[in-house]
Amino acid sequence: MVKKIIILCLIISFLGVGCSPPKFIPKEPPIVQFERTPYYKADLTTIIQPEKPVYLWTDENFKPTSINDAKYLVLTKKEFAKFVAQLKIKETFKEIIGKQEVLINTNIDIINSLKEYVKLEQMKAKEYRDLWTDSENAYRQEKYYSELNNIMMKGFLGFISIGALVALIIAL
Amino acid sequence: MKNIILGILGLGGLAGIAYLLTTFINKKSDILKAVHKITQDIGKKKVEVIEKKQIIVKQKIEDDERLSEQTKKEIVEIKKKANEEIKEILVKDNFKELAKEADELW
Repeated sequence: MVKKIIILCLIISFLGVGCSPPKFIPKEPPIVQFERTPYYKADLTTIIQPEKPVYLWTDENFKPTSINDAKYLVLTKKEFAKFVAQLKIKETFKEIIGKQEVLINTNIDIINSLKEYVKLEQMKAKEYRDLWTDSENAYRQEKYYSELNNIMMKGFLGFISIGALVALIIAL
Repeated sequence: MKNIILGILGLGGLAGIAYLLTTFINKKSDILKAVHKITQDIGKKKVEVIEKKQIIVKQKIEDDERLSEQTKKEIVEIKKKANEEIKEILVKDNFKELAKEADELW
């Protein structure tokens, strides 16, 4: 009988150990990585630049003259084409400026998003800190109650034991 | 004998007080545990909401980065197209065509 009781006590104590709370594993936060953005260079040297046009200055009778006495400027087809090409370059620059505006605004959007991300990260850090504080307070409170309980139990048990012993001695 | 009985009763009373006190402390502890659990659950939910928002923001950043790269490519394309057109203009040997081109670009 005594053997059975001892075995039962051992089983119950093993069960108690087996039912101990599982180890706390915190949730892994999502992995966020941002690649470094390389610098942007607006390389306009790749656009073809026509040679400087050759001017033919003329007087009112369309006879060639010096630039000081000139009334008209005569352009050959080839020279006129250079001016038209310059107009095309101007138009291209206009288009590129439009696209660069989009590029700048997109990068401003990215900066704003990153600012929002930092704000959220700060909020998260605060929330984690609050959780940590709450856990720490709960742990301290629980520890305090547990210690108080232990002291009281031990104290009263001691009193009862001594009292019982004294009562036993008196009875004998 | 009377003293012994009184002593035993006293010890019983003491044990009863001990039981009541420990029960009171345990009850208080249980309430704190419940409050702690609720606080932790609310906190975890808040963190989850923030993380979801962060994922949305990250997605937006990635979309913007893609748009930025796309715009850079478009600028390169504009340059390429412009170069081809400039080459065509420079070899044109017709005043009418050149004037028409100039009017369009003006």
